Amino acid sequence: MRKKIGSILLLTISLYAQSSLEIAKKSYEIMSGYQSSVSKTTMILRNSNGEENIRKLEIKKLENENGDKSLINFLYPMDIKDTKLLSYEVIGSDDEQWLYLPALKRIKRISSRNKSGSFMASEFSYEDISSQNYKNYSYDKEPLKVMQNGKEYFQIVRVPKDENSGYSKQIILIDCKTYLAFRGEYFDKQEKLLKKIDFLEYQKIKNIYRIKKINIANVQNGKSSLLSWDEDAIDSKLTQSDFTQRVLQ
Amino acid sequence: MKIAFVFLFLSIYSFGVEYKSNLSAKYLSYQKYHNELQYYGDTAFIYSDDKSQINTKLGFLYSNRYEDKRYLSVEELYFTQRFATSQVEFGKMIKYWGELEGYNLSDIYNQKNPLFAPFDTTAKSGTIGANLTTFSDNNSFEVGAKLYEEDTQYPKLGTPYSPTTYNIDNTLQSESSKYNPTLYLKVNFVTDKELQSDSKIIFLSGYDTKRYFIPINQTTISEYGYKVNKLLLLSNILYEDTIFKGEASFTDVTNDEKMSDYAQIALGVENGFYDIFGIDVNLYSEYYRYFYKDNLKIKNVDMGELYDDDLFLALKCNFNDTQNSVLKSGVLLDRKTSERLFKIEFERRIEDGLVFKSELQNSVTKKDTFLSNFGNDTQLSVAVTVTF
Repeated sequence: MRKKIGSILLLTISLYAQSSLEIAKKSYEIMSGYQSSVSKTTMILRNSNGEENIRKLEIKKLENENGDKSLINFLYPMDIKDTKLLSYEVIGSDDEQWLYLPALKRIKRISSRNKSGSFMASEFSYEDISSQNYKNYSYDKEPLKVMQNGKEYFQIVRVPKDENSGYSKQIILIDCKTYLAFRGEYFDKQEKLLKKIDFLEYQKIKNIYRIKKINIANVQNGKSSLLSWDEDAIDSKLTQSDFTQRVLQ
Repeated sequence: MKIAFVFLFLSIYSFGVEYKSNLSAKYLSYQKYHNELQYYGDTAFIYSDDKSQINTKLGFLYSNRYEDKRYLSVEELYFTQRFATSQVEFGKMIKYWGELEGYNLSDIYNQKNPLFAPFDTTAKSGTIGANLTTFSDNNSFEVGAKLYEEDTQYPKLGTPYSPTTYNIDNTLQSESSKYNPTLYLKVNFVTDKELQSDSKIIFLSGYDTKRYFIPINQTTISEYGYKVNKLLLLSNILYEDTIFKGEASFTDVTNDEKMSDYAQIALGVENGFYDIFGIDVNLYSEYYRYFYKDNLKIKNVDMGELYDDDLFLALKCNFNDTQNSVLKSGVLLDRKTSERLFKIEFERRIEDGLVFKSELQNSVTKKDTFLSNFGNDTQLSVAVTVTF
């Protein structure tokens, strides 16, 4: 325990050079510019007994000035294969979402207010997997500089602007050199710690940082989910027409 | 024959065709009828390249008890040619036109399949047709034709939920040749500025999917198809976490002595409540109504209106667990006759690709109504489905 405490040496120094907003913007921009991407991911869901379930997804994304567009195609388990979720992020308002149900051949508009709801029974909520655009948060507090395992991080506190968010605030550690998010703590509406998120691995594709592995642990129910990118391609020449209802069927 | 089938199967695999199969075993226990064990399933194959796609779906049903509930059919077999902003499709297809959950009065591209599931309006038979669709963002314009009118296979007398007390000849009788095409235009448009909404306007000219029965002889009846011009309006509007839905149809019967012009309207509201002890709950309330221009005329035909002046109330609980457990329950109440149909179903994944489903259905009917042919009944079923 002492070792653990010893290894996490926390230094809190107020940092006046950059605001939290500027750091969050830089952190967002360092991962932007991919234009469009096609990724294949695996999600491992672990319950409190350590039992595992696997989900596989194909995720297509398109960067947009007014909010990103995404198309998630469920690949595994087989009984939900070909179910698709089309989302248009709307900055400062509710996103637009449509779900395609292959058994009925039905495109169904769904409410995007379910921000805190579980995504595919994982510990990731819909807002965790949606675009982490810095504009969706407010940053009241000044950033701090903290040390963890001998490395320096900015610690910023962001508050979701959306009143339907499941979180009251999120504390994020951002690498001072690379501006990549390293770790986060998400607090529920009662301001109790709900989830711990670890951005475990990044890769650089065409000079743009891409996340490769994220683990999220719900400290209240003991469950966790690991999302890893098996394949990831950027600048994939996708256009607006690849994110319309036409591609759902 | 078997060798040819195996060869065809291996050929399909070698060409890298995507496939998905569902195989189910279901035990049904009835209060009024003999119990049965059903095996059913489907296999879908999709072959596609950048511009074109071939979809095939084969389905089967086998009841150990009721001989008429046994079939093997090609449910879909159609070709799609894609262009930059348009596409052409032709072949045997199943389409979904609708907005509401309990019953879609506008889902009329295909005939229902009462042999498979008498009360499940999502059970449909493929229709042979062709269409051309142009796309602009999320808006589309479709012009198409159904090439002919299919016969509907009804359960025979003595089989659960046979709709009449007569023998049914499943050959469709019709105003003119069954091979007269039915034409339609469909416009789909989406708004996202002031309100998030999806709407469709469909104009259809040809045979009505709704049919009535006529006597063939003293003991046998048959379905009769008549021609119409029909306008359908469908819409959903999202406001906060409530979705308002509507479907309406205005039908001009062109030349049928027994059938009156009619209108149908259906309104619905869907409300979501999220993360209640980890459970997402959706509530549905819907109302369906028919209006006939000439009520005297309609009294002469047995239309079997299941959804006139009916209220549908339902809930869906998604437990958000790794087994995808879902509980659905709903009741259809006839406000005129006080008949009701209640259903509760529970679904849970046992293993990846193996799903358990159990269902309880209870119908309370009144004298001299269409449902009175089914009588009061309670049906309990358990099923497992393997998907691979």
